[in-house]
Amino acid sequence: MTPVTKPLDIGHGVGLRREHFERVLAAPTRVDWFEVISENFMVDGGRPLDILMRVRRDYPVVMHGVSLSIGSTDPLDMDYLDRLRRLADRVEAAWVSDHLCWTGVGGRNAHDLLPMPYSEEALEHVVSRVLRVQEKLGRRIALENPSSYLTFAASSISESEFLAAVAERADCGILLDVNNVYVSSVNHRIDPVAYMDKIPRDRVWQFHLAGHSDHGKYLLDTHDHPVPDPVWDLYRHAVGRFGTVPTLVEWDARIPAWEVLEAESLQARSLRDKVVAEKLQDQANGAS
Amino acid sequence: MTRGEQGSGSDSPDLRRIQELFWALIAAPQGVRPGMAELRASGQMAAGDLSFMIRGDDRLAPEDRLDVYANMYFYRLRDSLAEDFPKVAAIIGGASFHNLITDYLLAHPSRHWSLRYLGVPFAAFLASHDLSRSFPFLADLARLEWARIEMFDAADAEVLTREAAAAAGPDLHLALVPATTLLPLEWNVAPIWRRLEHAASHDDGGGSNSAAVTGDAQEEFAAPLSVDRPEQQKTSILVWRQGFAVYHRTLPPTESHCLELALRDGVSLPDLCEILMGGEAGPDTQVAMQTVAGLLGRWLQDGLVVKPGFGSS
Repeated sequence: MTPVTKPLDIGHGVGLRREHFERVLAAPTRVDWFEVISENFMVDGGRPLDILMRVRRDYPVVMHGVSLSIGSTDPLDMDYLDRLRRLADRVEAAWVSDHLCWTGVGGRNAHDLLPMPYSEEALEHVVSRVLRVQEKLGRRIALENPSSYLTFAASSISESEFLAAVAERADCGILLDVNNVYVSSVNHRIDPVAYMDKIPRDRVWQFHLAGHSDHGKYLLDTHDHPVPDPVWDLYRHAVGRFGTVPTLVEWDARIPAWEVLEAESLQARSLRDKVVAEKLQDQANGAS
Repeated sequence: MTRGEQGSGSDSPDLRRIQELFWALIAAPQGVRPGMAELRASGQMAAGDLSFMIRGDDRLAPEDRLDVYANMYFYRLRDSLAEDFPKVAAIIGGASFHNLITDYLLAHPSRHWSLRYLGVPFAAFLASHDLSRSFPFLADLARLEWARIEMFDAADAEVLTREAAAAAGPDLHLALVPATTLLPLEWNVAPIWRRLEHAASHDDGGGSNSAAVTGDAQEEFAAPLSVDRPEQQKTSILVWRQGFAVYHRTLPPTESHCLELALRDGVSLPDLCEILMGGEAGPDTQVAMQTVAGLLGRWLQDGLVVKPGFGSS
């Protein structure tokens, strides 16, 4: 396993979606890298796989999965892990991530990111599985905080404490989804800044930014809107706390024209540069 | 997520029980509360609300919070199947498709890590579903839609060119590319597939999949499309991928028979001639050779024949 704790800062990326395949291959873009949903490319052949390999010639590729089901009480799916590893090796993935969640039980799959109780029992369970997954994949993975719509009576610690403990005990990375922090903070009336401040600085490998929908009594993580202002504000805090971490804009439904998505990524870059410059200025002022 | 009233966890169900109950309730076809009533009736759940497992607040009760997941579960899977079987959905209309998928997911919940395989038993399920009484050709249409999905991401292969085939001469052993399949159907669904494809490509397609993640109760269902019933006629359809495009065409019986043999174990050109001459009213050698040459020309043009030795190293 590689001894690197944190991957290199590869800049600003976006999700590779089929609506943009032709544009991305036709001419250079202003994004630095692409993230793919791993499962969409864990197939035998055909166009998507071919596109991915062509994109990989020009850009780093990060693999983001949705089927690891790290929190399930079902056994780990070895066929899945074999195929995941083959794809990761083939595209030389910059890193591989999935979610702190479970997706099914009793052999059935909801294909959704279902929430975990944050209990000591669940913590031990997840840590032992992350260790086995990393062994099987021959690399560390990063786990993302999901958006959630409920909390369990069995939870004895907060989600951010749980995620931090998993990362420390299993020696894995964290994909901090800033939009998910915001969505969950509204849904559970928690302080999103306090949430982030519980996440260890050196464990965050990547940020996600995205939009969501307001359903009145709760926010739903839909990835079908531009990044809204409260999420940009939280991103400022994230950059202030975690520094220059590779950042991805996710947009999965009502997918806009390429230029709109690219502009969203450029906005993230300029906001980050601004926060970093302000921080340097503050340090310079403090030193003088 | 620090809260005033943190649960001690001591009275809570363990992780396995939480996940099993969570699953039973999000997959319950009528929603979380009716699902709870059923579990209580069968003695699998004690009386009372879900607060022993899920915290509620002044905005949403525990059951309402779980309902968010129940909606996402159903709508994601339904919309994925609607993408896989758009023509079946168009014929029966949105409301019937919705109910069909409710039945389908009860019988065939996803058991694969990839959503890609959710539709594997769909055509067979449809064949035994009540809907097939009104639409007896529907299962065959589903078979065609599914075969096209299967071919879309089937393994790549290097295709035999005309020049290489000519150079190989009569010794050529024919094997077909992996992205090839033959569908024996009871109904001639190719014309209806084409009409629906034409209709869909002239539709602006606006507003699709917007209900996917919202589970919007106000959703308007598409009306059924009125179409002429296809002919009940044994039909063999070849579905294949050439480059990255998926095609299908209806086969004459002779070609279907020859391709079936080529698909099974591969076949040589002289073997094909002999097979053609085998029937009682079989053609003579000359005609059989011409027929085989014609078939081979078409197969090469369609990119169906794999380059010998490909993938065997």
